[in-house]
Amino acid sequence: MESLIYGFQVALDMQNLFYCFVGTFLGTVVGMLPGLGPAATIAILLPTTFTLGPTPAIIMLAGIYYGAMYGGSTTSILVNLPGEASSVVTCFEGYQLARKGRAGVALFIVAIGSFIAGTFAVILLTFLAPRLSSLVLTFGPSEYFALMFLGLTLVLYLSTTSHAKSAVMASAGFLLGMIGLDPVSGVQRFTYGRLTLLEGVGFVPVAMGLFGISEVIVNAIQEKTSEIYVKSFGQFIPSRGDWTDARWPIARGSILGFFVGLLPGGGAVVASFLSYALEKRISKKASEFGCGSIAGLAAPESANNSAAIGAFIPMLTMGIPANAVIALMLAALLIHGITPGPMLVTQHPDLFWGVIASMYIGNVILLILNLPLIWVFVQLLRIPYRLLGPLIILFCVVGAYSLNNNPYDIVIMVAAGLAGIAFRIYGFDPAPLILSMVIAPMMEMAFRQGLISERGDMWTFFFKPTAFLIWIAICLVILSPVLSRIIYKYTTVRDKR
Amino acid sequence: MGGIKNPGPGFVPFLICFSLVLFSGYLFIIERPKVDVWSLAKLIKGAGVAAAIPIAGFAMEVVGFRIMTFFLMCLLLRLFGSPKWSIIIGLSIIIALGVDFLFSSVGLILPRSLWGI
Repeated sequence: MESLIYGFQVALDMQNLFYCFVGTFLGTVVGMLPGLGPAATIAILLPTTFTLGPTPAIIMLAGIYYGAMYGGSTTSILVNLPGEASSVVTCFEGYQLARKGRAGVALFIVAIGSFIAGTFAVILLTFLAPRLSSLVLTFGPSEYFALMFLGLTLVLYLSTTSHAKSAVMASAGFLLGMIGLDPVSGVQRFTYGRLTLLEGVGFVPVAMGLFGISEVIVNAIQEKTSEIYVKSFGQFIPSRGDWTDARWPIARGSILGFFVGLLPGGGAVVASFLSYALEKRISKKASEFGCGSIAGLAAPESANNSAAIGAFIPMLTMGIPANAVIALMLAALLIHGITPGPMLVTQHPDLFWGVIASMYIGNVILLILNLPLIWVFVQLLRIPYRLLGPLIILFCVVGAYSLNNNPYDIVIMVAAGLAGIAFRIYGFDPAPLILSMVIAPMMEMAFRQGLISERGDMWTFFFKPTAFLIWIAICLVILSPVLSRIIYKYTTVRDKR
Repeated sequence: MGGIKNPGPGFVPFLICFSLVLFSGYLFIIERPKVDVWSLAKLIKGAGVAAAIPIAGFAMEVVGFRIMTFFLMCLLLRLFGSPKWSIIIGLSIIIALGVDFLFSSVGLILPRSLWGI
């Protein structure tokens, strides 16, 4: 408790409070605007955090991430266009409510549900994170390697595209992460004698290209426009019946979202879909789903906010990013000279507790921004993309250049952007590539350090007790499709008898 | 390359390349995605946007950020479909000066031209 009070002292510092507001405000704006997600925004704004300390930088970037969860629902409800990937499900019910003249009620339920879920997740984060850090301190290279392998396996299996495509992306990300100097022997790998590649391929330009430049070029080519269908919100305050329909879905969504968000590869998108599917299955008013169901709206929106906060736990306690956005924040910490992991809570308590406390404050700010000021944000949807697109490109150019004052980073960004367009066309998810690129050096280091310390004994490396348990979990994940088929056949045969 | 008990710098890259070839081969043989092809005009537009960006990056070190931004915005606003040149030029000047001010205020130092603009 004293640590959390210390965290609030840090978070309520004027500078940190200001950047918390900036982050949540930008996150809401970014979440609302289709075509610009939190990943691209964080990648673009990352260089602007170099002049800040690590605490205000991460507070702002975190605010952008969970703020985008709030903002994405607005566009889904009013325009039937998800502002953010995790708000796709909100379109199913939110837009139908808006067509019935209940847009205000939908926005209110979403804002309150997101606030409750976000606060619940931050409370869990407060109590779980330090305990997990203590546990992870006992881990050695074998356990770290197994843990990162588990994270990567989950990313592949929870991906929205085929496993083979995700495996290709993860492999490509690994190769990109290995460009530069070998961490053990210092030998150059894949540098082709170029000095610019000695430090490897920049993660930030690649992320900006994959998420920002590719999106803008595709939107320019497809000439997408959007129009606000709903002209008025109707009444804002939900009825007693609406609250009755919303309360348990909000609770279930909050819990489910948090634990899905903890899993690498889980994230807000998976959490929102799972939550919607669960509510549809157990609801007594299942016929309302697809026609403006309050339960179908409240649950996924709560889940995605809860998942966004839960995703911070692996990064803060183990140094393992759970998704592409968290990977960018991990990169931000590394750029500021801070290595996230179990030592973070003891070595940088101001950062650790300050970020957690700022999430409480950020959720309150977001509730204020998303209810009374909603009409202000809606005007942003009227900004034509022919103005927004060039601005995004300009910010990307400045962001990539300012990393090292090197125009070759811009070339890398554009190359990644063109690759991102190809990925979109052929249905490849770039998230495994980004995650692999970040954890590749750490995984290889853990693998080779572990083998060196065990004098090449593979048996001991793979079969240490904790590592062995993690490898069992990995095998269960890999075999889960086969196991579920066996269990399904067994239960079907048993029911027939 | 080293061996499995004492991997060298090439060991892990070799394993990753092997897995990349394996999964790519599976995709090539088993999964053949259908692709919507864009028209030539749209592809040229996209290529124009993509080509402008690195050119602008290298030009920035010679002509400075403000001049680079002005020309880049003129080109991009035109490619993105803005109607009148008067609007494009006016917006480009505002954006060049405004964004330069914004980045200066957060401490990012961007290149100036030889003439100090």
